[in-house]
Amino acid sequence: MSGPGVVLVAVVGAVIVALWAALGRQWRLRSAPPEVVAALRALRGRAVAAIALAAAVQLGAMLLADRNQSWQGLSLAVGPGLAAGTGLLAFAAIGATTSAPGRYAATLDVRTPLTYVSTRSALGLLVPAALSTALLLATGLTGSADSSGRERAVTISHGATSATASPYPGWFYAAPMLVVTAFILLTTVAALWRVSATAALPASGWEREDRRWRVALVRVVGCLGSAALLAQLAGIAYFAGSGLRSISTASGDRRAALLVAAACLLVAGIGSFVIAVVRAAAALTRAVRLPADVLGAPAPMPPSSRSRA
Amino acid sequence: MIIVDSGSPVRPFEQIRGQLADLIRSGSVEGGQRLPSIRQLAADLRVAPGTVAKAYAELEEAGLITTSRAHGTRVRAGQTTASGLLDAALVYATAARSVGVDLTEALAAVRAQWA
Repeated sequence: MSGPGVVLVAVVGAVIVALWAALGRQWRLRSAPPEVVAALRALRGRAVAAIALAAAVQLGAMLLADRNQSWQGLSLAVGPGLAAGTGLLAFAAIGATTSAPGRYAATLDVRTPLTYVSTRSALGLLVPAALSTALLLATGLTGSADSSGRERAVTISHGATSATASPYPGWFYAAPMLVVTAFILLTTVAALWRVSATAALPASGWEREDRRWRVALVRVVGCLGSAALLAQLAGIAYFAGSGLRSISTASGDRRAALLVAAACLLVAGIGSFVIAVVRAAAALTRAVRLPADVLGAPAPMPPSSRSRA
Repeated sequence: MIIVDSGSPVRPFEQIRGQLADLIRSGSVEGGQRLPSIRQLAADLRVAPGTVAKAYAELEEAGLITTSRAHGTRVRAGQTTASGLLDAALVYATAARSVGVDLTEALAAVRAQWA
């Protein structure tokens, strides 16, 4: 199965698992005013629509890669970041619907884009962004031109022998991916701003639930952003490792070091890919479960199940 | 907590201004505390940003809040009503409620005695 095929199967599998986890359990929503339930469902719809748009853009990038071989996989390289960024931008751009005249309450707590961001969420975004940027700069600086003159190869020379391997994340891939990394971070901030700027639940006495949905959506945003950054990191690490492994035969006394570096990058690439898929599935799960997570509790096991257990 | 009722005869900006002024003078909102931005409060109360802006402007004119680009909108220190007066008001409000009088009638009684 080709690389894009593996990615597609993994993504579809993650979606199926996420939906099963989110919908397989029976939820009993606490009695809440209809306008509160409607508001939470609207927020869920917004988040799910953003994730669906991201998935559509990712699929489009994969189709473009398949149909435009001359692009040398560039759309695959920037696809995850563009997909997540597009979804986050759509989420940030969708404004609230107008509310009917009535009685509304507001707390005096100041909300900012960072109000509901935990240290863990911030690190989940910043660490892969930093690693991705550092690796892109390193591979960009160590890359070389291929036969077409594109900076997407790596070359090593030792005495009279030399070896070149491609694809390699040289500037042909690294430059646009650096731009996309910045795009992911900016659109994440935009989405976090939308979470803080969205109006409170339309009923007084639901301040705790209001905070809970904001925390939940910040986690969705964090999962989506980090999934894209980790998918990007996975590609960079994997192809950098693969390239280094290929040229290690002509590296002379540096062969052992290159092989170790290659092995580390390959493992990091595969590990990052797995975590990226898990994070993407978590984003979808959390988005689908939003109203239940804010209001509900799991229903007790039916009597027939309890007797079998 | 600020509550705006679109069905009330009191205009929304006056509801916001009055409730904020009461919270500041009663000490429920402390001096130096930052208030929500105009956009945030307007979104939560489902009113136009200009309505909140007008309420904030009147509160600033009354010396209860300060507004700056660097620090946002903050409650001015030292605006709390004397605790003795608040205690007396609590006693009066409790007595008024016990005889079934609403806020309008209670305030009318104060005005009558004040004269």
